[in-house]
Amino acid sequence: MTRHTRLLRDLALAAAIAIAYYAGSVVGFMLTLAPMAPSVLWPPNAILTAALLLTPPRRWWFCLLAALPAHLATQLGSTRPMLLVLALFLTNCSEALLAAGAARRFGLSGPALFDSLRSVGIFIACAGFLAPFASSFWDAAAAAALGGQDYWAIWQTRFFSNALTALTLVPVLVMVAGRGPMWVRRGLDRRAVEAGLVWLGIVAVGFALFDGPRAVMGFIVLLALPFALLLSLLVWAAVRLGPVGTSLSVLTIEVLAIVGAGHGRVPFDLLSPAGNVLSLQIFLIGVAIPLLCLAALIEERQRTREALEARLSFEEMLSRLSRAFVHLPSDEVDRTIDGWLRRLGEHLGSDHMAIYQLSPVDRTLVPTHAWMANGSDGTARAGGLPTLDGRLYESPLMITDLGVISFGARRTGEPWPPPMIPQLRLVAEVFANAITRKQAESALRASEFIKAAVLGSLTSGVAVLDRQARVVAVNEAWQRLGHGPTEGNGHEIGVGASCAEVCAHALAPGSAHAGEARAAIESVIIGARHDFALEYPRAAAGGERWFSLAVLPLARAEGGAVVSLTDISQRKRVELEAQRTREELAHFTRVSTMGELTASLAHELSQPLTGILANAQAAQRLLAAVPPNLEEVRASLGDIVADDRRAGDIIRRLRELLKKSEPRRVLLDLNALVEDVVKLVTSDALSRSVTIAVDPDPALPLLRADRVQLQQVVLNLLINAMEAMATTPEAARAVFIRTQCLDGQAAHVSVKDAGPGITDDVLARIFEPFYTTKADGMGMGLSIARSIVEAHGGRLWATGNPSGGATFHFTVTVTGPEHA
Amino acid sequence: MSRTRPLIAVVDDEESVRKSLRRLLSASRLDAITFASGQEFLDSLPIYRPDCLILDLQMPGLSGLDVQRHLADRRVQVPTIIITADDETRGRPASPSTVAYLCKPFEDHVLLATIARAVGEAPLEAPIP
Repeated sequence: MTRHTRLLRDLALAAAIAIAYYAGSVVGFMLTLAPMAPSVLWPPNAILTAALLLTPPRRWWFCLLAALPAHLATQLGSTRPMLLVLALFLTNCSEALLAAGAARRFGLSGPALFDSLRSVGIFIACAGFLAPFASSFWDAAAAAALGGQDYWAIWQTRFFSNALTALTLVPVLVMVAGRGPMWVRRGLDRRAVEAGLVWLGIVAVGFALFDGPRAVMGFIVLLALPFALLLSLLVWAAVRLGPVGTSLSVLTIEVLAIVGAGHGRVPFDLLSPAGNVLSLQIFLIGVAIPLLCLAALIEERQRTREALEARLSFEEMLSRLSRAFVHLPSDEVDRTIDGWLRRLGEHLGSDHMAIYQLSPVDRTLVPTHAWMANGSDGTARAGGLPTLDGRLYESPLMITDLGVISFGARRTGEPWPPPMIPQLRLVAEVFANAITRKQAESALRASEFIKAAVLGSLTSGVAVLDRQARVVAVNEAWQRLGHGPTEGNGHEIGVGASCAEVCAHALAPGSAHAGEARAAIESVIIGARHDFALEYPRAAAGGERWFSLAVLPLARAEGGAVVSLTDISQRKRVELEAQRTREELAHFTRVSTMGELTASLAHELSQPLTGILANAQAAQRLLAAVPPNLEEVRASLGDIVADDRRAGDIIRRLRELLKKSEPRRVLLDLNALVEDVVKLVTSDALSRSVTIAVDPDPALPLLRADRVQLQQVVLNLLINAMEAMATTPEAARAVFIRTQCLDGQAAHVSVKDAGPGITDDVLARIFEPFYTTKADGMGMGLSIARSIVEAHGGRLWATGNPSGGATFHFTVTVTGPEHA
Repeated sequence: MSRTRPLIAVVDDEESVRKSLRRLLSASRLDAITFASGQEFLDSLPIYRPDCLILDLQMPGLSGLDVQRHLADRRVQVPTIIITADDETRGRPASPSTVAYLCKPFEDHVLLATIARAVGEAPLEAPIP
């Protein structure tokens, strides 16, 4: 609220008090019987009391000050001394302060004073008795001292007059001003006819009683009837029209009676005019007090019943609201919330209802659901943020960790009653729970969707097993990749299948690996082993296919395992292709090497052939001689056989290296193998004037290795060694081959030459494919030799000799016969 | 005493070649003497003076060409038949005493005809006393 509007409100309040006070004074003077006597009915004090009962104590000074000009204005025409006028204002103020202050002592102010029997009792005690009783003492004192009037007469008149005015006028003023015009209109909507009838009845009877012709009054019987009628009308008002109606009724009678008394017509015809007034006042006070109490009691009962009904109806609504969300599918939550906002808003009499949720992105409040009453102006909401000022601040805003729900303002203009706030909080919790559940369900559905999408997009088959080795989930690829009755389209091994079925599905039924895989899956599930992997071929419609089966433990508290099945045929094909290429390359290199040896091999072979031919032809001649020298013929035949065997050996070694054979690991004697290769190059060494010496280690165990491949390695190193010595003086050209057993674990072969040695930069690249130092070399020899050695679990490397030249070493892992 | 049959020397490091040639020559009524290396043959020269030399070209130690060089140095002229396993050496500058190159293995009649030619054409020296 701005300063400006506050100032306007204050001015309006001051003006209202001043006008009411002045008007009340005028009425009060009109109802004064004698020129100098206190009024019979004195409204100004009741107006001040009502004003103080409606405002907080810190603003009382303002209300009292606002009445001062009105008070002075009323006294302008009078002959009273100024001091008395001011003193009387002070006594009036003191009365209002006493009444409002005492009521506040009991925690009562405003319309709440007339809610219950207790509060009405307090009101009667404070405003109807204590305040007029006490203030009349100093009022009378002032009037006696400054006006020269009779003290007790003044006290008596003022006390009864002010008490009666307070009892009848203050309830009307406080209720009407405190509850507002809306309340009055609502009351009239319900009881307008009834109230009108009662009031008209009272006016008619009162007029007949107090202002009617004297002749009628003369009869006791006729006098008793209107009194009885009057009482029944007053009781009716008390029962049906509440404290306000009761007060108004009494006030009406009061005015009629005073007007009548002024004309000398009173029902109590026996006394003086003053005595008549007093008796009338006592009569009316006596009637007003019980009637007010009765009205308050009935009002209280009514209010209690209504509150109970309201609570029951609210609780019923709350329970229906809770039920509405219990088994609600999450996609209907939003629509249901909208519907319930409307029903609640209508039920609670709210002008709007809105839910704002905290955005997870920037933590701002975003309106998600709203309802607005027909005809409500919709300011400060309808898509806007709750700014927490003005009415939105006064309306209940329930804050949960999700966001805010605004219940708007009540269409009656009344504030939300504090006892209702906990109920509204319950409503907010029901909504918050529904929204939370919806969010959780959406999140769950999203994560399930992602999981299903991930599983579905895998090309590998996946089966998830629980602790009992039962399948709990599979993907589409799992069904497709498995072995079915008809390959590719069958045999669903899905949720609920056993471990054995899983293995039969992945491997062909009766496969040698099935038992192994099953044991492995079970041991992974119980944690005995961490993982398991197996590659195997399986017969399929289009020929053999290769699969990989992998088992990993499931990383969750309940345990279990994931079995994945992957078609690795493509990879296997590539691997086999690469292996074949490698073998062909090795073979090609071997054949090339043999090509280099052709001349010396031809020489090697020609020796036994020369011997064979010469021996055979000699034998022919010996047989042709007379007599034939059979002894010599036999000797030459023996030599022929020996030479032929020698030639056969050479051819065998040659063929072994030239033929294209599948790699085959056999148990072999590495020393014999080296010897064979050395024999193969003997002629070559001869033509190069190279001597070859071999130092075999007799302790060398048999190796499991591929004969041809190892021969190729030794041959390659030997030829390299001989070629390296082309510039070495002939006498120094020597190759030294040595075999050694290393700790019984590996065989070590070294080939040492007396060439120029290898420089470091050459050494760094010498094993690379296509690297060569020879003019006609291809550069594959050492590269292939190294891959062969490594395939045998060994190593191939080169070192420089201290005495010059280089030495090539290789090792081969010994796998003895026990591993065969 | 003069010899009626020509003496043929065979120098080859291969035992089977030596043995078979000696047997073939003997069966053809020729006297044959064999040496396992060039050095052995050179050492025997003061004792034996063959009418024809059958000389292997590729030998460890002294090669066939080395032997011919030594003979030239000593001014010993022996008609020589060179036997070799490959024919690469044919283009080499031959010693004047070389009668023929024979490629292993060779036919007996080729060898015997060549020997006959070598022995017949060669100037006969005075018989060794």
